Amino acid sequence: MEPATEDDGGFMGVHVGENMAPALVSVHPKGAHIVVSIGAGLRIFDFLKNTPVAVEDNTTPGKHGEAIRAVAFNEEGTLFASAGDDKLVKLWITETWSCVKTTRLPKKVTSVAFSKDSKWVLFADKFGAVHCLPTEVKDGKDEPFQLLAHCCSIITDLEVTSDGKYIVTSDRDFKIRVSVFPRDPLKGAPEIWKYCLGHSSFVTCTAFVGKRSSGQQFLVSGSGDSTVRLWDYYNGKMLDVFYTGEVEELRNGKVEDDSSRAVSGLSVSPDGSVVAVLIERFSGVLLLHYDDATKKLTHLESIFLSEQVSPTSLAFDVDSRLWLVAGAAESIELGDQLVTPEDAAAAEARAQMVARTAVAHVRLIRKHTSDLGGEDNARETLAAYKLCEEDSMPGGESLRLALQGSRADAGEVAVAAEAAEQAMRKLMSKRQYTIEQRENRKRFRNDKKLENKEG
Amino acid sequence: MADCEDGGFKGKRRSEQQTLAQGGNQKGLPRKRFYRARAHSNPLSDSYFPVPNNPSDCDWKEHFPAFFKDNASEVESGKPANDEAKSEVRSSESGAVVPSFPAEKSVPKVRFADIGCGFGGLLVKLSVLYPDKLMVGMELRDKVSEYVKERILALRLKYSGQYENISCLRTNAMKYLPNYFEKGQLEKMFFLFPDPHFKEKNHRRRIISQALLAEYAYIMAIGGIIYTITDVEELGEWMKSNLDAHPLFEPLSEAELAKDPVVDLLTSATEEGQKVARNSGETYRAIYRRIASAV
Repeated sequence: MEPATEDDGGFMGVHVGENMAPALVSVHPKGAHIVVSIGAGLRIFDFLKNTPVAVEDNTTPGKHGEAIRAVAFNEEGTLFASAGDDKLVKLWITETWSCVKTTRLPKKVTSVAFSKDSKWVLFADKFGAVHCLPTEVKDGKDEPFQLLAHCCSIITDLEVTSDGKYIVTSDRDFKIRVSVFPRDPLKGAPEIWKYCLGHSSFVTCTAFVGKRSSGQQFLVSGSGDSTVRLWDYYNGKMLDVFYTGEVEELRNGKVEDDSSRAVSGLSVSPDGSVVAVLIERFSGVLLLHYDDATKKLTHLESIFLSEQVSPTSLAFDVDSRLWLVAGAAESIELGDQLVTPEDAAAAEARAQMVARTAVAHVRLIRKHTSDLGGEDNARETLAAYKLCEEDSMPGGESLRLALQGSRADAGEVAVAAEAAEQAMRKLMSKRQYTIEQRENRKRFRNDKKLENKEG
Repeated sequence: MADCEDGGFKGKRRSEQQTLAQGGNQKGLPRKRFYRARAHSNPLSDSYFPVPNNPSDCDWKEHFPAFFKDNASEVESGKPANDEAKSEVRSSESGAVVPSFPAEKSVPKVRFADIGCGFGGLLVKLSVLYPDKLMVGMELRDKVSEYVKERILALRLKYSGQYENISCLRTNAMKYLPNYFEKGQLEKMFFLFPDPHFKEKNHRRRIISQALLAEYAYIMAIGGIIYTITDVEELGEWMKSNLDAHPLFEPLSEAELAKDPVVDLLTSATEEGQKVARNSGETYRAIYRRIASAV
């Protein structure tokens, strides 16, 4: 354990702890900002002004003191929410990037989403509950209230459908639940509409494909079983299964590595037809094509990063550019013991410092503008994405400095990102016991003692 | 301690018992004393637990062989296989038998579920009362569920043609009910004398809660009835207030309760109920109907 010093410059090398939290990326729905969260910090870049933005947070009880695990914009992009291991939920106004509301939840937060009308912000926690808070800023304290709960299972992702009618929650127990968005959220969400059951391992992430305007979107989900599945969530029917292990580039990767790779992230292009997929220990991204007519997922492209770094998060922006971020920072647990305000302040300062010094890696994939070659037109939609050279990324040096950190080093990032992946796997996979182990654990039970005597 | 001292004696009796059962003795019902188990099992334990991926992967044929006997001939008559049948075929690749269902309406489905069925007393009584309904008991304690399975097999042997409609599963009903039942499948659900979990920090282990009632409402048919009973006043109030608070359930009227033949069984049929009656203790019941959501 290397204690972090107060002086940023003196902090050398990435500290890989046991509990590494991955860096997350989200892009403003109208393309105004890009936000990278790493550790307890938010790094924001304003595309319109071409400058980094500093956040302003004077709310009580203070800034984020542990790693941020969930971020989201509302539909208009006027609000932003962040939450994570410190159980604090923060609501930000994106115009000024000032925090307008901080509320403490009972458990660590894993996912966040806004209601369609932006009146409510929803949070899912590690104990399987989904809580709700009004976004309206008023005097006095807001108490979060419970909407629904999965029985003591970690909720891994939370989404509200684009028509605002349903809440989709996925969990560690292989389930995706579709609940009716209640008329009055203060009374909870008591009606489950459907389950989407079929994954044979933990579900990590969900997203929607199909045109938003059509009113008929479908659900895609990624899982520890290495598949991306397509669902008609209204009827709870599985429409297609895409097994990522079948992609040749992945198969030829590491032969000695026979354990299946979890799908760790999903993002869908604004037109709803391309699904970008992150996979454990894969330094690149898979692009799948969603065909609205056949309701199938097909492999479009595999794009490799030039470095051996597996991205921790991805997001399409409004111009169909795909942002990839890799990185992680240690989440320093404060624990549940009573801490003095001084301790809390020190922990917060430390977490903020870790966040400032953490390094991330940002890459961009965008549509290859090949309109010069007329003969390529037919294939343009099918193989048109390309990794953007670092020098030609929008925002240039300024963006890279703001989001990646001052000492961007691919090697360090790779180590940190891998540790975050391992932490995720450890958290999500179920303990498996053999029959012998199970029997062994029961050997002191009275009925077993009897059998042994007999035998 | 006492258990250990006379353990040898019990052991002997058990082997005698087994020989009797194997010999096809007509009175070969399993005896509870040989299936003693702990009173509790941790419902929140989350080690890997084998469960069907979804309801169409459940092999109910194994549980109710008498009700699935005629399938083969019906399939041959050329009825189109529905979606359910297809997924069933896919899921049983490894097995030698490929079950295929006839048109959906004739596939018998489980309609009653006894959650935490214990030693199965209620199932045995209900079986005779509703011979056409498939019903399943769900129990987390392995020894106890084993006993119920043995008991049902023995009853089927002893009374030929009867008790074919009941079965028992070892599973965690708090986590996996939607893996077994489709939306609106169940007509009756029973929660008889559940673990009271007195400590406040353990209240989330209680089998009735707002979050779990949402799941029960999902798997229950509109008009289906949920029966709860306990001898613990505090838990009785908890179950009632939770059911009252849930918008998809409404209480049955006194008149309806008086007409329902199942209500009396809640206290008389189960082992726990009989124990309470012996000690002339109070019971607290809450019986509610699943209603449609207000539009």
